Amino acid sequence: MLTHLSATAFRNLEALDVEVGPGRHLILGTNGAGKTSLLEAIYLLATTRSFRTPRIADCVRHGESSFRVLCETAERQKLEVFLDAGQRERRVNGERTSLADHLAALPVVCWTASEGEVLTGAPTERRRFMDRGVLGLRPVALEVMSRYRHALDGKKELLKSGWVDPVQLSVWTDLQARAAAELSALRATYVEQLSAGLAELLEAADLGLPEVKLKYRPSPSEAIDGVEAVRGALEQAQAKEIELKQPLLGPQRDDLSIRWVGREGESRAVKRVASAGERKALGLALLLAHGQVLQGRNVEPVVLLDDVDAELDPERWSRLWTLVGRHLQILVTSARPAVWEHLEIDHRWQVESGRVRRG
Amino acid sequence: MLSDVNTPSSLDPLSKLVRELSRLPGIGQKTAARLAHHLLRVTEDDARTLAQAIVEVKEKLFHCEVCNSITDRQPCSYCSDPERDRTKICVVEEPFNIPAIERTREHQGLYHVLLGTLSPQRGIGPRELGVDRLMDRLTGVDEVILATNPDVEGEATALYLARLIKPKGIRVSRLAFGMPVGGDIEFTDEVTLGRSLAGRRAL
Repeated sequence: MLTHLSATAFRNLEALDVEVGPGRHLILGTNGAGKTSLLEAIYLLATTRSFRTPRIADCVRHGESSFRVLCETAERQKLEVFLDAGQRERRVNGERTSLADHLAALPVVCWTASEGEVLTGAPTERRRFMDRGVLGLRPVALEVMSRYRHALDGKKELLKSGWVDPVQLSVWTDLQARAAAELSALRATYVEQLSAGLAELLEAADLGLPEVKLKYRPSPSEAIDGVEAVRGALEQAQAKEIELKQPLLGPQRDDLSIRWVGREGESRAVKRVASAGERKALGLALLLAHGQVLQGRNVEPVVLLDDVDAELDPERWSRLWTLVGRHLQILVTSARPAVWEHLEIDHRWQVESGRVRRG
Repeated sequence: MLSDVNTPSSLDPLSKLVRELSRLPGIGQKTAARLAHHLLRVTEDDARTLAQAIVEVKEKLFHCEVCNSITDRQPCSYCSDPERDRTKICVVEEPFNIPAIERTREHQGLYHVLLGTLSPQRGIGPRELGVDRLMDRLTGVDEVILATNPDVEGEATALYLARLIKPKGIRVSRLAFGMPVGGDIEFTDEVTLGRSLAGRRAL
């Protein structure tokens, strides 16, 4: 949980230095006032990345050369992210720790405008979604992911070169298989937990949505049966990979299938049949289910919801809101004060032209 | 002339020093500037001693033609030492890995320095590493210890060498990885701790 937040030269925010209490925070303001920047600062502290831009220098206030954001958590950890000579720097309690340790210090769950892409976007969105979930539960997975990426890159280069030394190729396939088996096991476990959390949440919220079935689709399909099975499948594909000069199988091709289940047990892909409002409700439910999975593992995430009430049926939203959980710290931005009139809120903030104040 | 702006001769001596220092591994612009300003303050004698030491290592040291380690004579002191066990070769990535292993006094055999790792990304294959030269040294050897780093490239290199060497009936071993001895679980980073857990053994 976040207890203190400060920001200097960050986006359009005026110098910020505030205490943040537990509970549900509503941040109101017109578009462009700086609401999203406030959430972005917290997200950046927690993950060292921005949800708006891959170019961290974009976060520097116009006319300044660097920014600094700082926060303190309930566990009395001080997190800091800043730009130094154009380079991103991060600190936990004044020291540069491993990224895994940094990520573990302030777990977040975040909804932004692009979040709906998990349902409608390309498989890469769903892999990213799964990996964020995996990392929330197991920061150590970062090492597995980077090891897999590295092994895959090595194999890619070998295949691309055209002539392939069979011993070298088998070595890189072996490394790929080992990391793939670990990564698939992590993703499979996460999807299983998420699926259970989602079912529970949908039943309790009564959103008028059909039953949802989540299924992890690994590549190769044997991936969750262990290293030997993955290695076998990769070796079978090898001749084809050499011919096409690129890797064809592996977690870089994984997907997560998200389907409605009808009364007769028949299932249909959500992205093809759901309305925009239903997709948004389900996307949010997925995110909140992820929050519950974390809580189940005694991780208390800070929940960031950006402009969450846009396009969402107020009835559905108020039902979800009651389920978000009283004991979590939640920061939600909105440009529509009316939506919140009858909802329970613990703290209110106003953002106007980059100035953040209570009330 | 505009094109001369960045040639070494047109830079003032301080900028030149900063630029040369910043080309060293692990030294960024800021550290380079700090080092350069430090060197500006030392006595001329100290500056000369440092400059000489740098030139001397280039003039007097070279790679051993047998094992690639850094030496001032051919072959190096490890390869020419009659006391060392010629049936064991420890393979490392870089010459600076040898002193670390020597300090343990656990390895009395010979060394072989690869001067790198397999890396398709950087176009380094078995030929660039001179793997053939290592293979030529294996007559009379009964164990090869692969002490490459535990990262992906080091692991790939070890696996590759193991596949070539094992069929010759030679024992191949790999360094074990895990927690530092005397390390406190609380202060071990999560990745190392995770790997130590994954590689745990029964007692």
